[in-house]
Amino acid sequence: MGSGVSAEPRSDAELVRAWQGGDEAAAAELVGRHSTALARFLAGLGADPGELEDLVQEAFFRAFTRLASWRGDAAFRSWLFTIGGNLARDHHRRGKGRGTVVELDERDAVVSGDPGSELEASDAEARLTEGLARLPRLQREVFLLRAQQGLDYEAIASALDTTAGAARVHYHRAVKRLKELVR
Amino acid sequence: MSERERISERMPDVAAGGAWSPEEAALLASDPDLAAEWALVQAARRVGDRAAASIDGARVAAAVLARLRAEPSAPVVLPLRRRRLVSYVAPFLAAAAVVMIAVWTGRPRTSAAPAATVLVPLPELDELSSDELRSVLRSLEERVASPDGEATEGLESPSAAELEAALETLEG
Repeated sequence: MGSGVSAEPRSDAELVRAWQGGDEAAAAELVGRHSTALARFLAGLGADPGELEDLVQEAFFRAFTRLASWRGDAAFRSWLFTIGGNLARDHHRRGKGRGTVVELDERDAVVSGDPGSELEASDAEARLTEGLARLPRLQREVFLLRAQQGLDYEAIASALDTTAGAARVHYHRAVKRLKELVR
Repeated sequence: MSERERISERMPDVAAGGAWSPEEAALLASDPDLAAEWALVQAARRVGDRAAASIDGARVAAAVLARLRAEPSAPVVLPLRRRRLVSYVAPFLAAAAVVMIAVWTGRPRTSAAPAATVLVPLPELDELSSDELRSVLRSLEERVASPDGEATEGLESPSAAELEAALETLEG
């Protein structure tokens, strides 16, 4: 710690313990480590971009005040996604979701490199986002956790309080449905 | 698992930075349905990127820490199972405490207000065995009565310590 050469980065569990011992830098490191992934997940669930940072902040606040409910055997990120997913659901229930309407003009603004392929990619992404909004909640969350976040089925099961087998079924149903919707 | 299914399962991992073998790549190229799925998974990797790019981790961390500092006190942290039990037991503990007050104070039951609170329906009680119920009431009894037989105050909102003690009896 005090030596000039930094060792391996601390694990999430170590950072959590350090935060519980009063180390605010550890909490900040956890936020820095996971905020982008959480924001991408929430955006995929349909969160309004203008409210994304508030949602991310709220998810971390809840996480830090409810650390006692974190089972150390589950990945901190999976647990954070659980909180984020619940938050997004509550938010949507209160009618604050944006309904996942994606403006193509907005996406065109960042085109770089090969304009044709970039536009095509943006278009595919926009159609996928619209398709995601039409999926049942669990399928949408499983699909994002697997395809967007790269979590394995065990981690998804832990995050969504289901089984790995059920998560796998939900994922493939989501893929099948999305292929129909995005085509 | 067929080769096709195996490729399908591997897609998120390859999209996250893996690579297809030449055989897998050939199968992907020759199977339009598989290729459509691969395009879907690749698009999924990009969903939310733009919106997330505006998130400033340092700013979020500062805001979260400020809120945590502003908390009046650290939350009472109980293990999950115990917290569930507390939320489950608390309502009937409070009602039982009211009953105990009525019994211990021995006030005459006038017709004006004959302890209407006793009539509060407590479906939670049906879930408990007789022994559990007796244990809860016994633990309350010890705390309700002061040495001279008078009820103590604040029983309608049992303290954390009282709940803890009652839970000890339930959990053995």
